[in-house]
Amino acid sequence: MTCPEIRKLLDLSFGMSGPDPALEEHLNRCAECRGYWLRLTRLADEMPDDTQYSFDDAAIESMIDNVEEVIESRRVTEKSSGRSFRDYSYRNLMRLMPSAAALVLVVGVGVGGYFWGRSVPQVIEPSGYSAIVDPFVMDRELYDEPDEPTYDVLVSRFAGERPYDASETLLGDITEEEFNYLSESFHVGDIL
Amino acid sequence: MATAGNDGIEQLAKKAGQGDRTAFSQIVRQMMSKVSALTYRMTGDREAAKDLAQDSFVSAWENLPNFRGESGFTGWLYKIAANKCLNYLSRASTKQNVSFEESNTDSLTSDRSAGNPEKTLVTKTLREDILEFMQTLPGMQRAVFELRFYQGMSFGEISRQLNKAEGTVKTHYRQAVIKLRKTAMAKGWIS
Repeated sequence: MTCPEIRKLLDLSFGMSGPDPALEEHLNRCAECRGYWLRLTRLADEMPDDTQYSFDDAAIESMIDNVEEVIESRRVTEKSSGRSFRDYSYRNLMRLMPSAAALVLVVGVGVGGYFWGRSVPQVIEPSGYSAIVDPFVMDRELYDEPDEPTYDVLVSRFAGERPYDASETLLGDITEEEFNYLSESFHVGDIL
Repeated sequence: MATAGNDGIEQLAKKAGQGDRTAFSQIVRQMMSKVSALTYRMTGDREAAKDLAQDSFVSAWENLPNFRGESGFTGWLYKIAANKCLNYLSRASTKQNVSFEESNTDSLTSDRSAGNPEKTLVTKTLREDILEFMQTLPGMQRAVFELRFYQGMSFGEISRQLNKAEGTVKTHYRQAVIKLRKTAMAKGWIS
């Protein structure tokens, strides 16, 4: 290690009883670094110790009394409120409350939205298109692609356009001979 | 520079953690002087230092059930006090109303040099110079210097307590020492 690197490490030992033992070998053979360390040691010795910053006894007593008073007043509050400032199960629970509320809100919105979507009235029109009634605009709009008309839809449309029994009318118009020919040659569904 | 009687404090802390108020009162009595000295050096403001020291003990009492005893009670208590000071300094820096009290140190003890007026004067000047120097350090450097130099904590412990990387803690300490060395040269504390 070079001298500047050694001095960086000596800085870190400032205030300690001695330098890092690994540096002692270098200090024994390098007068400059040894002088550097001695100056640091002298400075550390000059530093006022902890007691120089202590408050006098009266001030200390007053502070102690204040701490006791605050803790005691909190204990009284604990007793009257039924909860403890030191009860960490309660405090941790309180800390989790915002997250829990947010989770409930998200799940609530999700589930509510799903069921609301399912409860919107859906009307199948005779045309075969399904229409959804929008409860907010109170208007009918088509949202879906047209469905393929089913057999039932076709029959109901056919019947709706003709206010008479189509099959009877058709059969009534032909002779027995024609009817026999038709029933032998074609399937009933084909005729319709 | 480990605190004498730490074992006793640790035992008291264990009892206090189980709700023993008397044990905690003994801790307050034994540690108030050291904690208030820490807060005073870190803030340079006597009244703020008193309030912060008191707050530190109240916080310690409230948080004792969570104290796991892995790092020692005194280190934990110093961490609480240092963090209180850092919060105070950051609040104060936005208000810009913190100023170093140069002469208002009447209630501080100077018993070590009592009976020797010349030494008393030198000690008082040096004490105030150091306080002034501490106020020139950024908050984190101040906390690291305080915990390392005055409380004798290891870099690893400081790193854990302040939740900073050990390398960062060492850098802060070294920068503080470099500044201190320059101040000492300028003020003539050492040749």
